[in-house]
This record gives sequence, C-alpha cells and structure tokens, in this order.
Amino acid sequence: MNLMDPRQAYLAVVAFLDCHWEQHPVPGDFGDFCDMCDYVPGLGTRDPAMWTDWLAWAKKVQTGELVPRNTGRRGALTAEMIQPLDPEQAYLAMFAFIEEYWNVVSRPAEIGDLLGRMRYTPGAGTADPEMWKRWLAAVEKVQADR
Amino acid sequence: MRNGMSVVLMAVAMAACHPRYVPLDERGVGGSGGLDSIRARVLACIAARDYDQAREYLKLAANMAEDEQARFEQMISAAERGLVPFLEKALPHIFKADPGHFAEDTAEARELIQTTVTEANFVGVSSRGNLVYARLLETGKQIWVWVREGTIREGGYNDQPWSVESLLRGSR
Repeated sequence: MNLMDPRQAYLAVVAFLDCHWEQHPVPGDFGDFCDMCDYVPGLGTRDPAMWTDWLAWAKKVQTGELVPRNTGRRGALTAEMIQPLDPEQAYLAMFAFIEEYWNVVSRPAEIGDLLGRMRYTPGAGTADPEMWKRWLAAVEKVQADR
Repeated sequence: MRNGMSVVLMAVAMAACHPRYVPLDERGVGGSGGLDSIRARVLACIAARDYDQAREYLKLAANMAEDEQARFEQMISAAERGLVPFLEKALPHIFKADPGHFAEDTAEARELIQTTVTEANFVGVSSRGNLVYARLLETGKQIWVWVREGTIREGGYNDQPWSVESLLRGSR
C-alpha cells in the first residue's frame, strides 16, 4: 500500500470509525467521538481541535515528540509539517489519538472496549484481528477515492 | 427501580442542603477540606433546585478563588434559568487551549455556550443523535453546542461560520 499524506490518513481514520459505528449505530460516547471527528471537505473537522490532535499524534509516531494538548501549541500544527505515513504508522497514530480523547473524558467504557480490541503489537497484529482488516479496508477505500 | 433510585438521590441531595447538616467547623474555615465540602453542598443544592441555599453556602467560601466563585454563581443562575447543564466529564474536552475551544472554564464561556441552547438556535440532529445548536456572535464567531440526553456534551466556536448543512453533515 502507498504512503498517505496526513489528510488521507485522517480520512482513513474517519472511514474506520464509521465502519465501527455502523456495526452498532446507537447514540453514546462513541457516537459523540465520531461526530467530533467527522471531516467536512473544505472546512475541516467538525470539532476543529480533532484535526490538530490528529496531527500531533501523527507527528509523535514519526518523530517521538508530542506537542501537548491544552497548551495552545497544537494550533500551530499543519499537515505540511507531517511526513507521509504508511498504514502501520497511521494505525498507531489513530490508536493514540483515540486513547487521548478517552483519557480526557474519564475513560468511557464504550471507547475503552474499542481500544481493547484495537491494541496493536508489532509482528502479532491487533488484539482483535478484525480491527486490522477493517483498517486496511478503510485505507484501501481512501486510496481508491483519491 | 429507576424511580426508587431517583427518590433516594433526591433525598440525599436535599439532606445535604439542609442547614442542620452543616458542621460549624466547616463554616468559613480555610483549607481545601472546607472548600471541597462547600463545593459539594452547592452542587447538591443546585441538584435539589434549592438555589437560595446554594447561594448561602457560596457565601461561606470566603477563600475560594474569584473566578471559581463566579463560575459557581453562573452555575446557580444557569440552573435557575433552566439552562441545559454540562456533562461533567466532558468539561476537560470542552474547555481547553486548542483550536475552536474556549481556553478556560470561566463563567463567561459557560454562559456563552449554555445560552446558545435555545429553540431559536436549534440547527438539527446529527447522524449520531446529538442535538446541534449554533448562533452567531457580533464578533462574527459562531458558537456551536451539542446536547444529548439533557446535557451539553460538546461545544466551541468557529472563527468563520459554518452553514447549517456543514454543522450537521460530516464526511459521509
């Protein structure tokens, strides 16, 4: 699979979240998170901070340096600062991006369950193999739409 | 079962509000223990809709920081006016120094968000079940708020206003 720029990788994240939502489309903590992450072409994420949170974690996976939240510094991040990501890097960034939100909002069980299934071990894959399949399907979809 | 639990919770809240349950040694004393007790009592009074008593307790919090006192006063006033309250666990996400969010949890920021939740500002229901509200400020900023199950789950602002369609529709 090809490398993805940060925007393409983010669209794959949204496609992955959508797929999970469609399995169980009941309003709740996970639905709230999906609403925040939605991407409106030409405008950005419905919660503007989600885009810069994503960039912060994509950068962290690539450089090891995390621009901390709630400091006013994430607003300076742009897609141009981030190198293209391969699917594994993007997956790791997505996991950390979701996990950060989960921690901030007092660890809701619904999102915690998803993270448990998503946990990734290099060489062994995801705790629930279905998660990796869904991720690759999301990446393929975004790359096909390019 | 649910009704029974509501009755018990209401009774606990009312009991906490009743003056005879205020130990004298906690009145107006310094230290976080006294303040924590007052905070809990003010919140319990708000839950029990005893706003006068909530204000009485707040008067005892002489050593509470001014901005926190203002926030509590706004909470009492907002509840009195029937404004939709915040979901407590969403507060660290709503108030933060990141794009599109109010950097600090202040009385003014709470007021801007809570007073946006009116029938006149109702935009529609998101695909994930959140009631979406939005309004334009004179500064040109657009305040947006999401409500679900009677509490505010999310809120912030757009520097450039989004259309109704964009406020409701995401990437799908």
